[in-house]
Amino acid sequence: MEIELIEIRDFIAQHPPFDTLDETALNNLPKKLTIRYFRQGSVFPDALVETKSLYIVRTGAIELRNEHEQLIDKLAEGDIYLVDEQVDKFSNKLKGICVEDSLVYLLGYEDLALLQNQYSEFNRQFNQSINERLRHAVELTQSADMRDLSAMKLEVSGLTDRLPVIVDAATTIQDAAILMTSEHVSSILVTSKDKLVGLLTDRDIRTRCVATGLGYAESVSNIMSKELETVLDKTLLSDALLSMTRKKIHHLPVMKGNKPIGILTTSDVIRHLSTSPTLIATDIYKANSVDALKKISALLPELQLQLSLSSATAKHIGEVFSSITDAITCRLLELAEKLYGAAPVDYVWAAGGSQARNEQTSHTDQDNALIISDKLQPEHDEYFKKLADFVCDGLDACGYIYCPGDAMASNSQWRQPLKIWIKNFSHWINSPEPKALMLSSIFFDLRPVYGTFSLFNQLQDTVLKQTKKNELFISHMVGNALTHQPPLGFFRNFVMVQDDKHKHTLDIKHRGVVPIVDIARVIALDNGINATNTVERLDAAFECNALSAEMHGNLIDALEYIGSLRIRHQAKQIRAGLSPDNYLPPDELTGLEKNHLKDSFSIIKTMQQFFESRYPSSSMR
Amino acid sequence: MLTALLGKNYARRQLLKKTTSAVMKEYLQKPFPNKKDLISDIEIVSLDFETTGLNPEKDSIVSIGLVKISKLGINLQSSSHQLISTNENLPETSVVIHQITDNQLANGINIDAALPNLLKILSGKVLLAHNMKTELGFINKMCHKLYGTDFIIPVIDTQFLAKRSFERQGRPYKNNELRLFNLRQSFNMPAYKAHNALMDAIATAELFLAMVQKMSPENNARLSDFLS
Amino acid sequence: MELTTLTYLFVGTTFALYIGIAIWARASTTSEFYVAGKGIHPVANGMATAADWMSAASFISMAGLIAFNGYGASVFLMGWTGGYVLLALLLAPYLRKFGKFTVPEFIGERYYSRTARVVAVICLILASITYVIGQMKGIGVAFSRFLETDYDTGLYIGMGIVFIYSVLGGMKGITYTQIAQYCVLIFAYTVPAIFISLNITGNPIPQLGILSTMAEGNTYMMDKLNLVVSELGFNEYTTQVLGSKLNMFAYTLTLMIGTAGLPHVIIRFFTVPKVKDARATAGWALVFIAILYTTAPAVGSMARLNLMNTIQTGPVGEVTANIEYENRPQWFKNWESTGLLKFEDKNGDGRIQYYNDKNADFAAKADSFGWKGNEMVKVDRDIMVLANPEIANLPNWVIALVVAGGLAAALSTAAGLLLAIASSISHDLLKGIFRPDISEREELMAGRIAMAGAIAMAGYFGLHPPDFAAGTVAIAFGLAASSIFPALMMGIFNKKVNRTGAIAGMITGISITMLYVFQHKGIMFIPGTSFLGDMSPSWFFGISPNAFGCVGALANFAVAIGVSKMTAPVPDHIQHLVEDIRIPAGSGAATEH
Repeated sequence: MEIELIEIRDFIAQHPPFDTLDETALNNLPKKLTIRYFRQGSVFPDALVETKSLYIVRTGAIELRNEHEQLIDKLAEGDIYLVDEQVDKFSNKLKGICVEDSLVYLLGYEDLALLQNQYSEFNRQFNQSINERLRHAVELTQSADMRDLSAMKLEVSGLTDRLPVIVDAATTIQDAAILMTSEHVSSILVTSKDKLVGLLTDRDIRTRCVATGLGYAESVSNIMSKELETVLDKTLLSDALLSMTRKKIHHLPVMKGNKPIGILTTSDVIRHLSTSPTLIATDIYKANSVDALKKISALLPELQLQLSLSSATAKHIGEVFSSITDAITCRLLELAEKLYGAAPVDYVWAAGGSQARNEQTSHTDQDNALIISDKLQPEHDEYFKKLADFVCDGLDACGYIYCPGDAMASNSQWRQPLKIWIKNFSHWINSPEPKALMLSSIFFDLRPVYGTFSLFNQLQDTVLKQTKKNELFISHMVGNALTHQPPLGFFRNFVMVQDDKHKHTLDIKHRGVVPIVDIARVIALDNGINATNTVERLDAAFECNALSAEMHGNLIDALEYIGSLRIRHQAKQIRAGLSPDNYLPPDELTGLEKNHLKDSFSIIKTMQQFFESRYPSSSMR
Repeated sequence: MLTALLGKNYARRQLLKKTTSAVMKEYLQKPFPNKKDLISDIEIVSLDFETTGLNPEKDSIVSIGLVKISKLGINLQSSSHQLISTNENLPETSVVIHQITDNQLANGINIDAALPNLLKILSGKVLLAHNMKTELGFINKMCHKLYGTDFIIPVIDTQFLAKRSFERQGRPYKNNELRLFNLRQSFNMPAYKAHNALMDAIATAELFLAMVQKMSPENNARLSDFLS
Repeated sequence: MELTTLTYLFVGTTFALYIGIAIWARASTTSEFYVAGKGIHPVANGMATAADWMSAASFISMAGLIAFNGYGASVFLMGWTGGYVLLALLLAPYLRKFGKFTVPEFIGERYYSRTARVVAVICLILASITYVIGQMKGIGVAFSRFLETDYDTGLYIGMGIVFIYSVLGGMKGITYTQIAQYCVLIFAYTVPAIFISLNITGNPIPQLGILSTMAEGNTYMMDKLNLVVSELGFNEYTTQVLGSKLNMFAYTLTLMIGTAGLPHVIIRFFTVPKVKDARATAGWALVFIAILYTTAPAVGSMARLNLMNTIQTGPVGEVTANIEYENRPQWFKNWESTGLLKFEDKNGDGRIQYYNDKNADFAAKADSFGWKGNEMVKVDRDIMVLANPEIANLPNWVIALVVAGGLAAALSTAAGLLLAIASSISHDLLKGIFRPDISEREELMAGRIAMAGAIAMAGYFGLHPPDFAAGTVAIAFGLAASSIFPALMMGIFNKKVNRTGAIAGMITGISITMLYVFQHKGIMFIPGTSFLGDMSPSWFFGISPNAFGCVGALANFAVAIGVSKMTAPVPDHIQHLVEDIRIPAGSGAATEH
């Protein structure tokens, strides 16, 4: 080979399954590759690539999604991906979307086959990695409504939340024990000349010192475990877990280069696994009392933290939390029906606000409504009141606090037969008073959760028919959507929150997320779009030409960007033991991030100005 | 002037009539790609010379690295790295930069032998280089010396493209930002440790692919969008 | 304090007030998510509507018109008030029920035709731009006086301010700003009127002042004015009419039905969410408009009297009874510098003679006094309200206040109209017809360019005015009257009118009106291009171009109904739609309130 291509060879040689190849094969490999570059957002395979090839990611990141747009896997540096319609039908339906600019090496199918034939270990590992992805993908499709967030894809560094306690090898056993007690840890690392040489646990002190009668003044090097198994910070949790179980060890030092940055313990892993969304959902459906549900929902902040560490998107996290709230709501309704008997007439429980939009974060207040069949008799009201109270109280107990505006099914106003709902909506649409507009963000975002969905569909059809191209109503809605403006001053400076409690912060919910949500709602109602999720509304608006391609892309990017900052900010707060809020101090951002955020805000500003000029009367309030 | 108006293919035909050299005739025989062709249909050769200095009159070529791009893929199969032997001793500075020693150079072939090969590869293609002045200058000088004629080829220059992009955005830039290394960094591309003609040619080719994608995510750009 | 300083202070303060209110109104709504605002009280909303409604024409020009045209100018009062009532009762409730409040949207839907919509947009843009010309002129006058520059410079500055004011958009429409504007405006209008009324008649209420006797002596004020003007050969004030009785009638009608179709007015009826409040708002607005409109005749006539008395200090014919030019009052000098007041010493006696030299009888008499023609070669009627306090020797702060009031009136209306124009051009025309794939950013930019274009065009006509400000506005009303109003009326009340009829009707109406205006006033108002001359004898039935809109409207009705009879009938679903609109609000379950 050309010695000059050694960099490419070295890169390939580091990554499985290529690391099993011998020198000759590795040296010949670079010459067989084609390099391609994919810009962020581009989709492959594209027309320019041969259909049968192996992709090796050199830099960048690629998401694999199935035909339902579900995330199957995320490829990063060194990951491989085979595009081949003949070999498996499944990955044929997958498409790769570059989420970062990516440089990719392509290996032709014939060259790959040659390697597979020649090197059995390579072949075995290769098939394994491809099969794993396949199986993963199939599992995902089977549990369609609950997307597993590849919790196992989390890097171990995300689980070790404190720096390890380290002592020198010459330290006495007693000093080490004192240190462990004061630091409240059950294990410490031992170094010698800055090199990690061993690990000392409570158990070691018990079995190798106390039980054997060794003097406390001896150095720790006598009783510590040597020849340590370690993992790198970037190791996936699944791999770490594998080596822990295989080697029957409970403590695993996590290294960043040569430096220990933490200790992964089995209890960390168990704690993590118990909060994976799939497990939580299963637990919810098994729960038999409000208390049981309460216990489960206590895990939600932890889940939010982990999801944000696993680099899930803000949209994704919103979907997970909304579906968990859905599950809790459904379970509560089932419990209520068990308690009070089956409903006398048909009804549907509908969620409002962020839950309806699939945009919830761990704990928000509850907004909901009960739409009952027109067959409702006065004597039935008692039943539905008990049902609604049970569910609303249950949700409150689970951390979804009562709606401050009392927009809940327990309020008789929002527990009505279909015809009254239709009348209410007609009234709001024809007389868009401030109160109606206030309710709009809750009730114009409504999604059926449990019961007879057709009741809801009838309501939605009637409503959309009345709002579609209704200038009077839309103009008032636009006016309402303009009340929350992005915190961007005249000179592209940030406008900080004024009150003392949140001084020098940006309210990224009300002045970042809400304006986009409001605008998407207006567009949806104006065009009779029945989606509730903001991104889906924008997509639908784009499809029916109510939104230009440029603005569509920009708004979605802005929403996701602000959403991701919000998630990160909240994760930081949860980790620090604070309750998460939406007040982001700009100091938390780098210069580039500030710039991105400003760009996002100015997109919102442009969109608002557009609507203001489109409906000049909207600001006449 | 006329060349500018009528295009490189016109100039190529004129030159073909004039030249007497067989090597040059063969090189010029093949028409250059049409300017209106899709960039993804164009065959491009990314070329990098390591030289003893920047002046073609005084300095000489030390090594030639090249790789072909077709269908917007860099075909490493086509990559080649050729050391060129020279009679003079290497100046100290370029030894440091290129990590090539006189000893290695002894393995090289003479430029007189290397040039026909290079022209064969370049025939009918588009040349890609980062700061084309060096590469073009040296080839031109060699062609004059060996075949007594001008050298001509359509050129894409990543440095020129970067400069143009900055200027179009109305963004001031430092000369430093136009360096291959820094431009690659701005596209999130890996930094290569090795500094040899082939890796530089590959690095330039990669940068070019990134620029194409940036300019036209749908791959519908034309060759004329990139030519210098 | 110096007048200039005071003016800067007043104008500056009021502007700061508007901007402050705009910012406050926006900021205050962000936090109170679960506390729905109570909405705006109909009284407040009525004030805002009144501010929107009363343009520079109402504030600056109407009193000027009355001052010089006397009783004849009452058509403006009747027309505008009547139009407002017509809109409130006849059109707004039905349009509201239809859920559309931009006229092109309604017409496009009702006549199931994009062409009809485009025609409506074009008619509206024409009418609106003409209306803006009037505002620009008013702004020019106010700025030239305020900054003490000539009128042209004042206009240029005004154009710039209007552009910034409209593009920054946010501050224009907020109801609270408009309430403030109304307060400034009505205060600025009535305070000098009260002072002057006190001066002349001793009665502090101007509306009563004009009906009472002079402060000195027992003559009724109106009689006195009649005497003063007729002595100088002008028409008697209280009997002066605009052309024939028919012309008066046509003029009033045109103003009435033209008013009803203008975009910025219709929109106001829909900013109130509840139908009941909308009615109350309309009522209050009428009250607030009436305060100014009923004061206007007093301001006009008293201003005229003061003006005449300033120049003609004694009995007509006595040499010393005419004021010497050297001794002319300060306000005379001020307004001379704007170019809106011009004196030319025709007989070289150094004194000012102001009389009607077109009156043959009096001209002969004037000759005998040694007068060589009217020496007040230019008295722009638009300066009357602004100059009034100066003529009456009122304190400086009153003068400053009036300038601020004039600006408030002109800016609020101009900005509203320009936004409507920008939105029509960028959305209805550009996005609707020419470039459906235009992005929001481009549409926004197109709107701003359209706005700048409209301002430039209005500015051009402001520099080369086709007539005095209110006259220009009257033409705008004429265009709207002949095109929009009939289409709206038939859209609501005649389900048989089809799209072909409506389009033909609108085109006929506006064409006839424009043709008539152009042939008398010059093509695009360019002097010298008129082919019939702006003279009463060549007027059709003696109807002036300004009043011709109602004839255009009649033609519109006739053509639309005629053509509809001959072409394909209106589709069933549209006919049902029209029937639905006409069911009174409140009778259907869906419209209960």
